[in-house]
Order: sequence, then structure tokens, then C-alpha cells
Amino acid sequence: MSRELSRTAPEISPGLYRTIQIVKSIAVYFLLILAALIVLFPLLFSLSLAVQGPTIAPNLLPDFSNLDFSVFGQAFAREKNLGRWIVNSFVVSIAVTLGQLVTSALAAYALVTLKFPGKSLFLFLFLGTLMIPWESTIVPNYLSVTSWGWKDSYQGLIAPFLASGFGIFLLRQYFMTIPRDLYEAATIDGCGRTRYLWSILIPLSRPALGTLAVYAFLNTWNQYYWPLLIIDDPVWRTTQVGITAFRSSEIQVYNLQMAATIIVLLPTLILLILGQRQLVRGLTEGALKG
Amino acid sequence: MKRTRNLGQLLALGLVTLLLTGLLAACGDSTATTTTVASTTAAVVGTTAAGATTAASAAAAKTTTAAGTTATGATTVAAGTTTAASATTVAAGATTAASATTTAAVAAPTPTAVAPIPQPAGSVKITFWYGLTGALGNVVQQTVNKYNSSQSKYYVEAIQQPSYDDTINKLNTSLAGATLPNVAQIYDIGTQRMIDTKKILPVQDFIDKEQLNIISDLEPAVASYYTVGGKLYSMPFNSSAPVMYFDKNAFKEVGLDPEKKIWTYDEVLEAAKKLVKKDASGKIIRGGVDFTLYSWIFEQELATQGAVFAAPDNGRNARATNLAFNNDAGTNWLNFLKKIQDDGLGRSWGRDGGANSSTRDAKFVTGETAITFNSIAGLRGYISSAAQAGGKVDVGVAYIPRPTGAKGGVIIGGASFWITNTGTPEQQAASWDFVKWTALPEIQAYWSSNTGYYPIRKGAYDVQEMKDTLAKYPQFNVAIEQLRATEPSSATQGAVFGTFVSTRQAIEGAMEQFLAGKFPTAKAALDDAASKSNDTLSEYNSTVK
Repeated sequence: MSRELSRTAPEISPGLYRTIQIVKSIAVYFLLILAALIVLFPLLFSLSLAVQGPTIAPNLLPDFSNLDFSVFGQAFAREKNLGRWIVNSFVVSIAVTLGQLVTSALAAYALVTLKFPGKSLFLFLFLGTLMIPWESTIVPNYLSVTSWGWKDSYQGLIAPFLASGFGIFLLRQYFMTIPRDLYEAATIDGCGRTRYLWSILIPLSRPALGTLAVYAFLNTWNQYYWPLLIIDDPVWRTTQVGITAFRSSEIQVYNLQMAATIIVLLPTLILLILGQRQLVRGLTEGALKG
Repeated sequence: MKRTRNLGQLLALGLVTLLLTGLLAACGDSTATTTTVASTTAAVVGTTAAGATTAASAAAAKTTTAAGTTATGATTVAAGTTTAASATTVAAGATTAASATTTAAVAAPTPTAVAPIPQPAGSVKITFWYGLTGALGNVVQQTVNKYNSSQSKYYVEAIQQPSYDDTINKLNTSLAGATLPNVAQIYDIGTQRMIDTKKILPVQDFIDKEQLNIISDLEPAVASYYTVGGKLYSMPFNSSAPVMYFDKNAFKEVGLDPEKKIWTYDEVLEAAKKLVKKDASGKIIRGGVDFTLYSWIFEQELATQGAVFAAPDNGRNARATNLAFNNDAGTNWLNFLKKIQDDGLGRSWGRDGGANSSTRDAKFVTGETAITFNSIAGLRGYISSAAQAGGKVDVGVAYIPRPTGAKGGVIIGGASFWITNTGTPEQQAASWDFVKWTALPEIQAYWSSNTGYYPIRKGAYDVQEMKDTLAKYPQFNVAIEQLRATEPSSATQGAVFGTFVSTRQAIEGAMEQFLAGKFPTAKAALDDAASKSNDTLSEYNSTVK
């Protein structure tokens, strides 16, 4: 249908053409709004549940004449640490993301550009760590962390995840696609190894680094069992563990749970909205160059 | 030309998002109760943070400063030492102190933080893990505060865990590091697993040492549940049992007796025929009997008919070696549920947990369900929500139904306090002192009055607070009668074995498939669940011998 439209377009009058354009953009906006509603549904639904008061029989839409916004204050009253948990989650997730970016980039750089004995052995060693299910590393990690006295601390939450076999492999594969000639040309021009990594390889690998960063951040943010295990003091909890305090036992009352969920989500949401332009630019720029 | 291509891309994008949302919704549905909040959060975070993260890397500077400014408000972020953290909690606690021990009814939870009271100098400190959250978790903290302010020799630090499941899982992992809590609240079905940790000091030993006359005053059904091989292993704390909830107003409307307590399956089916209401298209607008597929109720129905769940003797005298729930008692219950569904007398909401349980509760309190089954601990929630939803429903309570000729009886559910062998002798003495204290009639009356669980002590019913509560919630008396009418036997003691969690899943799966018509008979469905469960049980048993 669309092809037919464009073929007949030159033959119709300019007025009709403009009407078609308007109808078309209305359709576009309609679809955009629809898509936005679908994407936002979980958020809107939790908001709707949050403001309906403490009932076990909530409706899809709240009673708009009787909205209970005090529930957000109640959430903070119930758990004074709520704000702190969000901070904890951010500190831990950002630290792990940065740590993984640094360790993975350095390891991958060495594996790709340097020649040293046992190189493939190292690579297979790193790859081997991907075959170990995380459940089997929990107890050894737990033992080390507790013996260092790192329970209830940021280092306990961060340290076990600072390096990842997946990250090294991902970046190695990407670094391999960048021509070796570039490295040789740079060396001839007097560029040292560190400078090559910093001013050439890293800027060229933005898409891969971005992917890794997203992956690491999300994984860390969503961690549940590890923070649960090594944190006893409520102050050090992360949001995913902390928010369970709002769950009710026996009979489910949703308003406080949903209010707390929204509070916990807001910071990431605001960051996304503020940083979306840079994010998209960063990714597409790299993709074109790469 | 370009415009139209954009439109096509947009449509494709819309389609993909639609699929993705559907997928997310599906994921949310299948997760169990315990993870409802976590999974919704995860799902939403999944969609938003996908972008937020890269935003963080692209605009790294911006992100870190933002985090930094918030962090300064929250103190000790960079310091990151345990001592600093505990110091702040103690300081926070000091301000609100013991004054927070006012009673808060669960029905209308007052969402104020219950701060722990500070530790007195020179007292012996023990840690206590509990798995109750929300308003019930607050009452636990209040109870602990009561204990801490009642004496100054011992101090209990109460640490909330997200759920019963997480408490026992965390405890199991902690076994390796020998950093166990001194006292832990563990759910009923964790009994065998706790015994198998071999790190438990049975409360029976403490009772014998002090020659304490406490067992005779414990509610018999409660005491027998936590007695394995003649030994009381843990001290029951919060106990509940299932009941049949019904709407008295609906019963009166169709001429049924709203005071009748004991119902047979046939009587329930007859009643459901009268109660069910359908619209012109035949869609049910008021279910006669609506239910979730809940293994706990299934287990209760076995006990009601005097049948054991696991052999031999529900694991009460010797370790259970195989599961026996694929018996006549089990098929009776499944056929009863199937008949309700197939005859159009009511609806199945699917497996118990999460959204399905909420549907059951919401339909009942709004009058769209006449009869349903749930724990007596839900009574207050039902009464207050029914009032909030317009007061159409008058909540009534009866015994869970039984086939004609069955003697009846229920198994206690809930959780109990376990003392571990960790820590110094003083700490172990402190643990026992605390556990013994929680079983005092006054404390049990306080606990029961503020939560809706059974008191575990008979003496609690003589306390004025408990008498007032029963006057306020007369329905609770029916649940007590049902419990007292239970004949003690290994069937009504309930099963103990190490793999209860997975067996429950197998049973709920079998019920789901049987109701969907995927098994020709109830027996075939239960046989399938039993053989799966037997495999896991023998595997578990081989690791603990």
C-alpha cells in the first residue's frame, strides 16, 4: 500500500498531498503514543496500585477522586534506609561496571596486541571461568569475604565481581576486528603502547565498551543472592534485597510495595532521560566508525 | 519514500515492544509469591536501566557527581566500615527507643519504622534472623524490643530476612562459614532440613535440663508438629491452619446456614450450585467455590482423611523414604476441585502465589467469590478489606471440607524458633532465655492479638488481651475448634522430609495439569508428581546419611 501511495504522489494536487502528510503524521504519533503506553505500562500500573490505599482488592485504574499520595511518605517512614539502599545500589553497580571495563580492556589489549608465552593458555583460562556456574563459586567467595571481615561493606559487595571472563572475551573479539596496521602505523609515528590503548583503541571500541557497561551494570543492579548473603546490617542492603521488606506476609497489600518500587526506580529512570541523547550518540558514532 | 520506510520501521518496533512486554508479563506471572516485587522491579529496571547504564558510561562524569552528592547525605559511604554502620543504627534507635511498642493491628498497618532499642552495656548479644516482612515483621521487632527492655542481661539483635525461603537458604550457605545466627525463625517445612544441618540444639534438651513444665501447656497440635522422633526440636512461634472462608451474606441470600461449621464435599458442591451466579453469556460473575491450586491445602485434605503424605508415618519415627500422597485421599481432593471447575460451579485461579493469590483474595472480599480456602492468618486482612470494598461481604469461617465419613483434622503451619550451637555457652543460654520468653502466655497473647496467628500456649487464652481479641474476631473461635478437634496421629502431625519445597511444586504442577485435562485421572497426575518427588527425595536422603 505504501509503495502505491508514493507512486501516485506526484499526480495528486498539493492540497491533498498535504492532507495525506497530516494524516500520516497523526498515525505516526498515534502509534508512538501507543508504544509509549505499552512500554510504560508496568510503571503506570505500579503507580495506580500505589495510590489506591491499603486494599487487597485493587482495580486496574484508581479512583481519581480519592488518590492516596501519602503512601510515598509512608514508604520512607516504614524504612528509613530506603534512600541509603538506592545509594548503595548505585555505588556498587557503578564501581563494578568501571572495574570490569578497566580489567577487561587491559586484559583484552594484552591478549590481542602483545606476544608472550602462554597467551592462549591465559585466554582459555579466562574462557574456562565462563563454564563455572556461579552457584559453585558462592561458598568459596563467601568464605574469603567473611575471613577478610568484609561482611556489611562495599568492598564485600564489589570485589568478587571486578573481573569477568565474559568481558575479557567480548572486548578481545572486538579488538581483533581493529586492523593491526593501525597499531603498526601508530608505533611508527612514535605512539607508545599505553597511548595507543588510551587514544586509539578505547575510542574506537565504544560500542563494545558500551555493551559491556550495560551488561555489567544491569547484572550488578539486579543481584539478589550475593547481597542477601553477605549483608546483615540493614544499612548496607542494596535495593533489590531491601525492597522485600515491604512485601507483606500472608495477605498481599500492594500500595506500599509499589510505592517503594517506584521510589527505587526513579533514579535510574531520571538518569536514562537525562543521558539518552549522549547514549544514542555514543553508540551510533562508534558503530559508524567501527 | 523515506517517510513510509520510517513508518514500517516504527510498526516493526511497536510489534517487538508488544512481544517483549508480553514476555515480561508472562515472566512476572510464573514467578512465585516470594519474588513478585523483585521480579516486577527487575522487569521494569530491565527496560529502563538498559539505557540508564550506558548513559552512565557515556556521561560518566555526570553520573558519578550525582551519586556523590546523594552519598554525602547518607553518611559513611566512603568510610565503609562495619563499626561506623552499626554506630549509626544504634544512634537512630536511641531516638525512637522503646516507646515504639504500641500495638499496631495488622488489618490497618501503621507504616512507621520500628526501631530496635540500643544494646545495654555489658549484656550478652545474640543474633536472631526472622523471615516475616511487612506489618508482621514490625510486630516481630516490637516483640524483640519488649524482650530487650524486659531485662538487661541479654540483648537480641533482630535481623530481618526477605522471606522464609531466603532465611533457610542463607542459613544453609552460612553453614560453611560458621557464621550462623544464634536463633532463627524457620518455616514448618524446613524442619527436616534444619535437623539435618546437625548444628541445632533441640529445645527439648533445654526443657529437660530445667525440668520445665511447658510441653503440657503447648497447643497439642502445635507441639506434635515440631516433635520429631519424640523430641521437640524447635519452639513454635507463629502457627496457623487453613479454613474455609465464606460470605455469610451470600449464604443467607440463597438460604444456606451461615453458622454451619462442618461441610462435606457433597454439601459444598450442593451449596456452590445455589451460590454460583452467571451472566447472560454463561460467564461466572460470582463463583460458588473459587480456589488457587495450593499444595498446602492439598496436604491438609490428606490429614483430614487420615492419610499420610510421606512414608513411613510421615517421617515422624524414622526418616521418610518415599512419598505416599498419590493415594485415595489425594485423588478425592483433586476430583472435587475438577468437578467444581467442570460443572461451572466456580473457578480455579491457577497455582497459588503472586497474582493468583491476590485474585483469590480480591474476588472474595468484593463478593465475587462465595467460598474459598486460605490460612486463618488471613482473617483480619479479609475483614478489613471487605469493609473497605463496600462492606457487601460478611466474612464467615468454617472447617476445611471433607469427604463423607472422614474424621477431619488439620496440620499446623507457620514457623518456629531454632537455636543453633554457634557462639559461647553464655550466648546459647541467652538464646534459650529469649526463646523461652517468646513462649510465655502473655507474649503469645500479645503476638496473636497483633497478628492473627494461633497462640501456641493454651494459657494464652486466659490473658485479657487474647479474650478481647476473640471478642473482636469471633470467627477465630472456629479455627481454634477445628484445631482442637484434630485427632493426634502421624497423618495430622504432618510430613517431615528434606525436599518439601520441590515436592510442593510437583503437586501444584500436577493439579494444574489435571485441571487442564492433561491427565486422564487424578491418580495418574499424582503418580507422576510422586515419582518426580521420590527421585529428589532419595537424592537428598543419600547426601545426609
